[in-house]
Amino acid sequence: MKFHFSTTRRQLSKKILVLFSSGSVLSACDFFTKTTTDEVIKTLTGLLRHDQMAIKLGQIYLKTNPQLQLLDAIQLANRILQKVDLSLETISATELTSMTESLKRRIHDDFSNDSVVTIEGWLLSQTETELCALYFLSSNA
Amino acid sequence: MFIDSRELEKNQLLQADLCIIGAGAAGITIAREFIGTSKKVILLESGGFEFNQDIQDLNRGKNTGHHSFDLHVNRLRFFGGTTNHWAGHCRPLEAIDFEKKPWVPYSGWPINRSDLNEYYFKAQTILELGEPDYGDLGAFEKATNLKALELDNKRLQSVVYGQSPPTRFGKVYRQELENAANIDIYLYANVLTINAHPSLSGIKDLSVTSFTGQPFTVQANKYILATGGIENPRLLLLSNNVYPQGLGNQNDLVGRFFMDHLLLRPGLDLSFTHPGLNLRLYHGIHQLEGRKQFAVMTIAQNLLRAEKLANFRAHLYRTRPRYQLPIGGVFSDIDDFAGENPLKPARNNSIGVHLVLDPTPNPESRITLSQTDVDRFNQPRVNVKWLIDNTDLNNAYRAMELIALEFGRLGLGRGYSDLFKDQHHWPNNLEAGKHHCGTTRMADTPQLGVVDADCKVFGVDNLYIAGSSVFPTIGYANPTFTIVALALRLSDHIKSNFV
Ligand SMILES: Cc1cc2nc3c(=O)[nH]c(=O)nc-3n(C[C@H](O)[C@H](O)[C@H](O)COP(=O)(O)OP(=O)(O)OC[C@H]3O[C@@H](n4cnc5c(N)ncnc54)[C@H](O)[C@@H]3O)c2cc1C
Repeated sequence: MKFHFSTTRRQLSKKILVLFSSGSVLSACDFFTKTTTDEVIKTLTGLLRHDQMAIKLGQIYLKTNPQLQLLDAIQLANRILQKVDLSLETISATELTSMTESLKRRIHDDFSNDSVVTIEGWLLSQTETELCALYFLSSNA
Repeated sequence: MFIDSRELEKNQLLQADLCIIGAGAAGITIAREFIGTSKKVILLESGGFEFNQDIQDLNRGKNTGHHSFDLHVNRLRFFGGTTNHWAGHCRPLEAIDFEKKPWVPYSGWPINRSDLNEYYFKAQTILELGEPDYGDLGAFEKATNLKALELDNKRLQSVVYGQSPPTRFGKVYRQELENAANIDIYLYANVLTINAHPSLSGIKDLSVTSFTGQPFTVQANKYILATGGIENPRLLLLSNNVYPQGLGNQNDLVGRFFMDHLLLRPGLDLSFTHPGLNLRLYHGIHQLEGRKQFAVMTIAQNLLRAEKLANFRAHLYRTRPRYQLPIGGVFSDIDDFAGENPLKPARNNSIGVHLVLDPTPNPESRITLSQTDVDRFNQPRVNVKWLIDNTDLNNAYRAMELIALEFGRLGLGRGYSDLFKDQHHWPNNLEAGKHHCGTTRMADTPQLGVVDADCKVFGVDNLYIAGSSVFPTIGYANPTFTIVALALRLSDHIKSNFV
């Protein structure tokens, strides 16, 4: 059960056009940002394979981590992005592309810095576990 | 010459310059050192040339501590001793293993690694190891054409291990000893007690019985006890003709500090994200020119000091993984294997990390004589109360964590351990290394140990001990290489002290 992004580029432009023509500039921006958020979340969770297993890990992690339970997918995505000095609000298309590499590096750095958590006996990087949690949250959104 | 004690006449008195009790790795090494010398040597061995269940039964005892192991299976009672079924893994102790480490109570040998270097070198030949350079990983990589993992050497390091064929001392050295004119080996000769002189501070003689019950006596100028890490203290405790608490036991130290390597097989399952990962350097034994070797991972010594940890080694073996949740592959893109076939979240892409941990010495962990059980010679059997320190559990956790961290850092996979699930209890696969150590520990003073730096029993002029019972701490390496090195050193010492 992967996080689905059914809106294609063409559909998206159409929707934007409709929104603009209806004079709702603010709503259009909202919509545009939301789509970007979705893209970012998709890119983030796209780093993980085996949806079911990743989602399950995320669910277990959230259960044992009351602090994270308070966050929604957007807040968690933001929290992850902050680890590589980015934010949902300002992330550009170029940054989105390079984010993947920075995150991979960050995850390997987690292992260097003992920034790890254990789930069901697995020792995992804090960041990758948060990605799993994000996957769980976004798949339930 | 070999003599069957069962054929001796009753109450015979045998005399020699040197008497060695026990023909295992230690006893045979020392006897060989005296071949062709002017000294007459008697070597007394409880068993014959082959395994015999009735003789083996003398090794039975009870476990009363935290962990049980089969006392009558772990060591063998016939010519060649436990080397009749040892595995042959060899590596010298590290320099740090000899040091007094403030965070490890009762640590510190009265000798240094450098005191043993020449003997380790010589021991290589005895153990048929060839001449591996234990410090040269590069040479091993070159010879095998395999690459070591690029471990962060502030955390872990790869080291080279030697593999003995394994040398079966009783078979390999039998002929040589048979031909030696000055060495008499008595088989089926079970030493019952080491009798102290009533007035002098030395040993008068040994009471021995053949397996069929003929008693005889052995007198020598010097005696070496080499019956293994459990029988060494047992014999000292049984030897109470003058000192009721047993020989060398004036400070109640004989039998205390019993320890063994703590094994978790596996302690960690590594689930690869890297499909082509080649771990062959660490997995399997490599036949090289004139030697066999393999690599293990150990902790970086600076980290050991900084975090006040214990030494350990980790082998890689294919074992059935212990995890329930197979996460294999979830992180394979993160580890940059996106182009590869995604691994299934399956169980077959994993390898077991076998942990061998240096235990903490504990005076309450001890061998005593049973009040109720006796063997066929009416000798009290042993009770082994092996206590495992909580510190050891923490050390095991950190050891497994360090390896999992490194695999994660290198982007090779993720680690699962039962310890990560429950860090307060040992997993149910905890095992003993079958290396019985510490029970007649070596120390600077009789207040801290049973033997001195020359392996002489404190307060007894002519009694020495060989074997792993003299190790005050044991590091991560298997003990026999050091047992043989110490036996060679003891032989030199005794030779130079014979008048
Ligand atoms: C399955 C297994 C695998 C092992 N693998 C390794 C390994 O890979 N590497 C390693 O370094 N070590 C290994 N070891 C440990 C190794 O076998 C021992 O360290 C070594 O044999 C000890 O040598 P020793 O001479 O002190 O004692 P032993 O070899 O046990 O010899 C003691 C001898 O004393 C005799 N004896 C006992 N009591 C009396 C008595 N009262 N009178 C007369 N004789 C007596 C016994 O019959 C025996 O022959 C292994 C052990 C086991 C059980």
